[in-house]
Amino acid sequence: MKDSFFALLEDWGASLRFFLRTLSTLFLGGGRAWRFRIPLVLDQIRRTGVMSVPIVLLVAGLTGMILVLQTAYQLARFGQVELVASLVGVSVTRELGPLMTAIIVAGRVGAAFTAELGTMNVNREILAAETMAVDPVDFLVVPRFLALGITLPCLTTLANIAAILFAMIAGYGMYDIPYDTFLRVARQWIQTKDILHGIVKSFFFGLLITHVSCYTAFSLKGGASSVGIATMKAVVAGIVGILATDVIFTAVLG
Amino acid sequence: MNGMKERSGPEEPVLEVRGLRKSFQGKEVLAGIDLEVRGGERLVIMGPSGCGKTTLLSCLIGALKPDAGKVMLFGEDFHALDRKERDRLRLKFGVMFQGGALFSSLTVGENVALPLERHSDLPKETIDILVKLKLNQVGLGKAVDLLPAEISGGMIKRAALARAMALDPRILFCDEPSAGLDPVTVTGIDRLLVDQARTHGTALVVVTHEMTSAFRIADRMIMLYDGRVVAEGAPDSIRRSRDPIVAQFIEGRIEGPIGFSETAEDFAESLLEGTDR
Ligand SMILES: Nc1ncnc2c1ncn2[C@@H]1O[C@H](COP(=O)(O)OP(=O)(O)O)[C@@H](O)[C@H]1O
Ligand SMILES: [Mg+2]
Repeated sequence: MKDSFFALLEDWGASLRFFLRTLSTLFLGGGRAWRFRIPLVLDQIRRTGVMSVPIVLLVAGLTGMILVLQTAYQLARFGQVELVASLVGVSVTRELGPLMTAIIVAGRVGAAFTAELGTMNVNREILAAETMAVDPVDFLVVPRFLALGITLPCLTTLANIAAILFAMIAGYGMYDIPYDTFLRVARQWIQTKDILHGIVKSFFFGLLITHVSCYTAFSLKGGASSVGIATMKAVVAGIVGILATDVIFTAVLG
Repeated sequence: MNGMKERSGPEEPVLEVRGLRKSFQGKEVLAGIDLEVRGGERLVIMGPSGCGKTTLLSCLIGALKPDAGKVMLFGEDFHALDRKERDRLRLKFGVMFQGGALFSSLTVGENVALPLERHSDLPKETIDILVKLKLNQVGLGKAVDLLPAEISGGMIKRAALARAMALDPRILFCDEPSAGLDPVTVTGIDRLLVDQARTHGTALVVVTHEMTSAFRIADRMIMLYDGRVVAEGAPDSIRRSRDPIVAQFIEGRIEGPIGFSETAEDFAESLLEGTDR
């Protein structure tokens, strides 16, 4: 029990050092470093961002509809069914959009990062990079870090739009709320601050997912079976981390 | 140490190892290793599986930190250097890993090009030509655009050799270059290694337990057993050695000091493990 506590502390320490190493590699690499990074970042954006668009749109759209179905009939009892627009708008832009998108990406992209880099670790490809004097953090982690930092806010924005759009459709279909009424109410209630809050949050979620999945892959020991376990751990830790970060954000920034 | 100096040629040592020790969980795997490699020399380190060959190699290339002792590469204490200084030395040695360790997301050509792109200011066209040259030398001219998953084990080893030689290193480390390959491919790879050493003056440090391969490559051999160097010398003297460990290993006999299976004590120990005695 005591041992596992210290092991946990040690692991957190190592994780923090890895994070700091990533940051220092990112900021200290000179102009030459960027020449190699940019193509790698673009490739990761394509693989992590573009490929995630359909699933993010689907889940966000369905969530928007569920929100309407769940809440509109209660509001209808008070004769204020159009307020559903404000409810959906605010909860999606502030909370649900960033959160859902991050959880999907943790499961989809974070898992892929851990599986790919973990396999590279087991096959000694990470060591091979190091012995060629190619910093594996610069080569493998930094591009993913930047890519998710960029794509997660973009995906979140798409998710917000999809959720509100499908909520509008559900509102019109089930409760005859005209589109322009829906939009008017939504716009009245959603503040720019809410949207920014969500976007900034999703940027940090992106960094968190990348860090957790890459650190887990880099620190794993053993053979192929440990890659599977590591991937599972990284996804769970990523999702818990996202929720914990969200609590902190909500508590601090209100 | 003086004896070594007298015997070897005019070349300076590119690698010098003194008193190297490494333990895992209290079990001593390397119990004080000393060795020297000079420019252009072809050293084969042999020994039974589990005797610590890979551990030794990992310490030499900086993948593992030894518990004690020094690894002097090109006259510098490798493990005492910081990352930047180590990277500077890393440009001067190449490593061919046991499984090849090619980057699986890059093509064979991109694998070989990577060290050139990162560590030279050559234009892309020149690098492309160099990559073709390197791959032609190992007979993989046609595989430039294939992924590691699309080529055979022998081709992977050859591509790994081309990548390790990309920056014309002064010393090349190879872990079991012939493991798991058919005899013809093994002969081919052994010949490539010797050719690289001869034409570029690269020193070789090859770890293997395949005796035919070892005798083909080596101009000096070291036998590792139980964490120590138990024999050292030219291939001929090793072949004629009376040392019971060396003789048993070369002939591949079961009877002898090298245990094939667990000893009776170990077996009893493992059976009784966890029971109240
Ligand atoms: N990372 C490690 N942790 C614990 N034990 C290890 C580790 N690496 C190697 N060993 C042990 O050290 C011994 C030597 O291993 P190794 O150097 O791989 O042998 P070889 O390459 O000669 O077959 C083996 O008994 C192995 O179990
Ligand atoms: Mg080995």
